[in-house]
Amino acid sequence: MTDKVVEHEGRRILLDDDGHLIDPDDWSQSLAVELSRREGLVLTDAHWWVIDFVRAYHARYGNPPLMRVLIGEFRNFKNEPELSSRELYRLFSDNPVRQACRLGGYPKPDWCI
Amino acid sequence: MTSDRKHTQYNTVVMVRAKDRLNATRIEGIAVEDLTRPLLVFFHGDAIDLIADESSPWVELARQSGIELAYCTTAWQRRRNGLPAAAVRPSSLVQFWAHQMACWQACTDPDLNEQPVLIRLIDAQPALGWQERLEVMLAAATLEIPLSIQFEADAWCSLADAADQRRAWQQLLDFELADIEVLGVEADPDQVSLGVRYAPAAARDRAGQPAVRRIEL
Repeated sequence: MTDKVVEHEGRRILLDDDGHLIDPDDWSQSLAVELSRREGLVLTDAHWWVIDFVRAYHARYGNPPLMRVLIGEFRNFKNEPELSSRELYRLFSDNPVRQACRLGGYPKPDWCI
Repeated sequence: MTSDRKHTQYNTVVMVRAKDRLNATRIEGIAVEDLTRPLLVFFHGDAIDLIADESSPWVELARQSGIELAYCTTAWQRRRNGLPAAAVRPSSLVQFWAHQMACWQACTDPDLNEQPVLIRLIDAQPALGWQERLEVMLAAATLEIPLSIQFEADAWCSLADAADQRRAWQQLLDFELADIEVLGVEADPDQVSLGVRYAPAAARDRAGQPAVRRIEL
């Protein structure tokens, strides 16, 4: 269960019931670290690559990437063509795209996929 | 949360997206009630309004043997509160495609199964219409269904005018989720550089494209 308010660097940050930021402009890297800590995650370079990719994709296209797209690009990043989705789920056990959206500061997608 | 009858093998799967009267709707020239059963009718887009009322002729279809009705929960939640008629079950675009592909694979020449599904976009749309059409494509891409998208001129010009939506559609090309062909419009070099193909209107009925694996939106 996620609290609906996070105190961070002297500010009160509002979250929705699913833990997504109400206002994406509240996002910062330090807030992502704090939100991750609350979800039991210590962010590594691989976590950050996924979060940054999802943020860039969302900013460019207006929606998060398909899991299929994320896996393909993650394979390129790791230079491991055979990498399976298990590696992404090892990083983000909830759901890689959804969790990266949440930690990356995007609201819960109004999106059917 | 959606529920679905994953094991039902339908002989016909139909997506309804416009608020048309039942008796005015034809699928490949056939009235809905006369389509081969088991039949799944999936409601999406503005057609969501057709299933709000228990007495709708569309809802009454569910009383007939071999006809099931389902709706996209996201499309419903964008337009309505509460629940639709009880006879229509919640579903999703991904589930629609799973049923559609199973239907095609069971009913058509297996050699056709490797060919892309042709999606034809005919007319102009408001921004939400383009978003929901893109969702149809992305749901298919989720299942790794090869897609070939064909725009008529009116549809392409409408999408080009909706800049944010055109930007969103570009992901299909950037990540090779589908190919896009535009018919009957003078080629724009900028769009060609983004991966859009242009063809004369006469390419609409190109030989070899199996009509049974085609959807018009």
